[in-house]
Amino acid sequence: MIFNADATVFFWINGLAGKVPFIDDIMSVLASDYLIPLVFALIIFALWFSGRDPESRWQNQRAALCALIAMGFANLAVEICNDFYDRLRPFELYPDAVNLLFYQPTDPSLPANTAAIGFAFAMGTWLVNRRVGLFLFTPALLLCFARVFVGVHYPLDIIAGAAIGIVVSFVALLVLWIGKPIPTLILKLARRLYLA
Amino acid sequence: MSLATEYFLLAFVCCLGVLQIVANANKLRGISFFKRPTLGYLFAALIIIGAISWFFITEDRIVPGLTGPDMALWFFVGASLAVITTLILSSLINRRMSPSMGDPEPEEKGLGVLKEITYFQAIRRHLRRGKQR
Repeated sequence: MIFNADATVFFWINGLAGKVPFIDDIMSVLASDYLIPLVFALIIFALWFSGRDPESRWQNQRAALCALIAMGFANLAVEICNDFYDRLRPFELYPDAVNLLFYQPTDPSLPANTAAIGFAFAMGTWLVNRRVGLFLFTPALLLCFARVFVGVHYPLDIIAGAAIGIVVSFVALLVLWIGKPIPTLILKLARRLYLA
Repeated sequence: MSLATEYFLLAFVCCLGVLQIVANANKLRGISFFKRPTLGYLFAALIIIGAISWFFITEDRIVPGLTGPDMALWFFVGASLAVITTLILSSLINRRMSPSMGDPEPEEKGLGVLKEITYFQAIRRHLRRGKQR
């Protein structure tokens, strides 16, 4: 029943594709492997060097580290899930009904890796820096919506991926807190080199 | 050019732009290429938008390509090179820079030093203090 509802929502969103070429192009670029992940990476990069005083810089650098650790954990968690469960992609299950605007990924549909990573980035940052973290949820949501729009994920894949991203962010924060001496050492070294 | 090289160039140019935005937003005069913040922001916007447009317009990017770890690696290489390039270029451009009158003493360590002096000047000062000890 959940999968039926999931397919209904999927077809409602994917049904919007193929109507306006300009919107299709925008969604394809948003869903691509390069644009939004690059935006995330650039924001984390900017965060590392931002802050008007040492205190705010320290907080930003912790946020960047937390986001990076969360992203690593999200990747790992999705890999583990993929070993246990393989849900077919929408275009594999309904080859004639899906408006596919993207290449055909070969990995399992559930959980959505992009959603896990996007939400891990946003949540990992939000846990340490609320303002930037909140902003990062916008590209994460755009990426997720675009992935459904172009026909490579069901909404449930996205929800599962997002849940993984959020959960692992708390784990990342815990790891950052437990292993505090290591990031402190990294930051001290970078500070000595005038890079943090 | 391979996709990896193109992605590396994209990351490198975007990081150069981001560093100029950060330098102007945080008043890190020592790593800024321009005296006027407006010019810095304009330069950053132009090279970031230019690089992203070049990357997406020249080739079809909706194809399977780099894996996540590959992208992370090439981004890291591009970002590192952008930092090195910025530090060298800004040190050369601002070589006559001196701490502005009336400003508080520069912080002892960290990026904050680059509000007042260039990276090369900071390294020189660090080495000189090391010798004095």
